[in-house]
Amino acid sequence: MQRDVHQKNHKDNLLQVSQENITLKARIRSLEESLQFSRGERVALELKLNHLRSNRHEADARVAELTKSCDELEAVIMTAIRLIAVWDREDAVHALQDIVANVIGSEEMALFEMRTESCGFEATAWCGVSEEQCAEAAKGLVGKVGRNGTAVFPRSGDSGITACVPLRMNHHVIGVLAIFSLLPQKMRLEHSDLVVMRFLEHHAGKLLMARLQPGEDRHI
Amino acid sequence: MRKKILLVDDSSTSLMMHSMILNKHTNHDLMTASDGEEAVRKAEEESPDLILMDIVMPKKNGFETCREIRGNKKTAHIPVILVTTRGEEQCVEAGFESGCSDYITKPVNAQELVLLVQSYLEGK
Repeated sequence: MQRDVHQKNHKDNLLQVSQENITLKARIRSLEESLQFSRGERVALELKLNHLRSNRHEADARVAELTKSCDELEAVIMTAIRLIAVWDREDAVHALQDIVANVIGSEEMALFEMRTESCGFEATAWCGVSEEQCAEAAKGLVGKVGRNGTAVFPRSGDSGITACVPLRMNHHVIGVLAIFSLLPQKMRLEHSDLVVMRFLEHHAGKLLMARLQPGEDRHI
Repeated sequence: MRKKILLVDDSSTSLMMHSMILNKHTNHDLMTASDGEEAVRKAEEESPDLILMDIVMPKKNGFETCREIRGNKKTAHIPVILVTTRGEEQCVEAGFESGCSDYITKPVNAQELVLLVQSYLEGK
């Protein structure tokens, strides 16, 4: 009798284990399916993430580009505001020195103006350089820039000039701005400096002539 | 919280440039002085939280002005940052000997200036 009971219990247990086995197999199948689905989803998310990362890099590059443009525009606006405030010759020269020192980063500059009688260029104001250096420059690079009307930015050379920019009035070159050495902490000219110099090229000359020699008859 | 910054420079271009940068990137009140004497007077009257000052100026240069600000009980606590074209080592040393808190060279890098100002005024 006891043996029968024992056998019955054993059968029940086997049945229970077998049912549990079936349930577990089904559960494993379901988990495997979920895993497969998750793997697929993970691949899709990784693709999406890569896409977003690439978009972010593009956006970062665009933000950097726009920030640079804004900085350049601000430098030009400051230059324009400073030039508009110019009232007389002394202030005009001071304004140019101020812009070159604080915006571009040089305390060595000279302003050359065209002499109508000789059509040559002569230094009319300078700072941080000697009269001899100016005369030397007038004979060389300054004269060349004055005649060609194209700004020059020598990387090296005997002239000691970093930038030589024609100053125009109504498309005619009436002067030249020469920037000699940059400040020791300024390693090289930046793009924003070139933008400011381009602005000076087209507007400073007009201002100099309009405000500085109102009565003088200059043949251009 | 808005704080007061005194900009001292005899160059109007420089004052304009620094004002433009600080107005764009910070939210502090700016006031200006164009020489050392005016700076000493405004520092005492207005009690700014920070002074940004050039070195080469008429009447009183940046070193003298800094020493005077440090020597006055009312202004001795105000941090002074020298902002100048003079990047030579002896000038930097002279700046710190005169009592400046920091020293940066022109033409200023906008980001560098803003970070420096924030470190003094916003504890960043």
